[in-house]
Amino acid sequence: MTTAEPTVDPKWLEDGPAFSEPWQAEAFALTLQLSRAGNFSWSEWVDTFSAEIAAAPQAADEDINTAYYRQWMQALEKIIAARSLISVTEVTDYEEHWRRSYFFTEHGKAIEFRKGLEPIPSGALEDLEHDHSHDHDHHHGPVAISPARRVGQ
Amino acid sequence: MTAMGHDDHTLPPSSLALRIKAIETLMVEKGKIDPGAVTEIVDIFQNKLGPRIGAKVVARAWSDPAYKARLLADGTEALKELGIGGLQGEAMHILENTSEVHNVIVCTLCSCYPWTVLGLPPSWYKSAAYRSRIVIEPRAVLAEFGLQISDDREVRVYDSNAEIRYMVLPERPAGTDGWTEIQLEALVTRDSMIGVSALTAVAAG
Repeated sequence: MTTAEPTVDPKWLEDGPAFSEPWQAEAFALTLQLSRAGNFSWSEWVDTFSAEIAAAPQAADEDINTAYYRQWMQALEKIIAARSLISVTEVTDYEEHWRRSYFFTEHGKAIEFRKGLEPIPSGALEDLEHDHSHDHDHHHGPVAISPARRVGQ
Repeated sequence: MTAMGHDDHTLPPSSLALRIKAIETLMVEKGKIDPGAVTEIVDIFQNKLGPRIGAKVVARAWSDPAYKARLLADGTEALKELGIGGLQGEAMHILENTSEVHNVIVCTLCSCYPWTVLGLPPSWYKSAAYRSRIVIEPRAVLAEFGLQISDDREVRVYDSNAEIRYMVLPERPAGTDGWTEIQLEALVTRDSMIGVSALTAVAAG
């Protein structure tokens, strides 16, 4: 276990990783923290990551960040498995626990991680996604306006 | 969905997002990392790295009228000029605050947010209270953030979604004539680009 302060090397703040989705920041932070806690050295991480980049390069239909964090996640799962920290089966089981934890949480409420939830009914995720994108109809203008009070009113 | 309304559920994020949460949860359970450690690092990026990209854009727009015109006309293209990519196909619209109009952004349904320029959203942005109240009573909510919008200014609330993300271009504070872009950039806060705060005039000196 580490007792180090959770500081970040200033070089990362100057020209560090750009994140296009929040999970990418979580992936970056988790890797940093696992290395700090002594589970692998940063140079071991760089070796694993660069091997993954070489083995599975950016695809034509991927933007840089998408490819980068796809490779990052594959490298992270490999280094974790290689050190027998956790198994692929465990990750897959917990991924499903998290998916159900999201699904069985009322919209807008904080997500609390729970195990042992019932399976998500077949087709329910697709329905939810459909509702979601339907509600997200294209608004080009403001959704609400509070007008200025005109002189004389 | 008939038996249960869609508000009874939260749409889970992508498989990769769930997997990273799975690994983090397992590592904490096995005592490999401290709970909260990852969140703390993410917070550092949220507060220090993320909004700086947006601040650069604002400083450039204040300094270069031609860039500002391009930014307001087509935010997505103007951001590409500054090498800001990573957009996943959604369009960026930049909303200019003026003496007549004050803009503020929200995502009423979930937490769509201009990650690429502002980093990660603050927790209040994701709260049910902000998401509903900013639409119903924007002036009252802004006042709670300490921002009084005078009656002669219109307040416009923009709802971000999967296709369009908004960012507010705050008004340049008085007393900053002749400042360099780097000096200006340091003034710009995350909240001013969400539209819940204004940048105050700076004392000469």
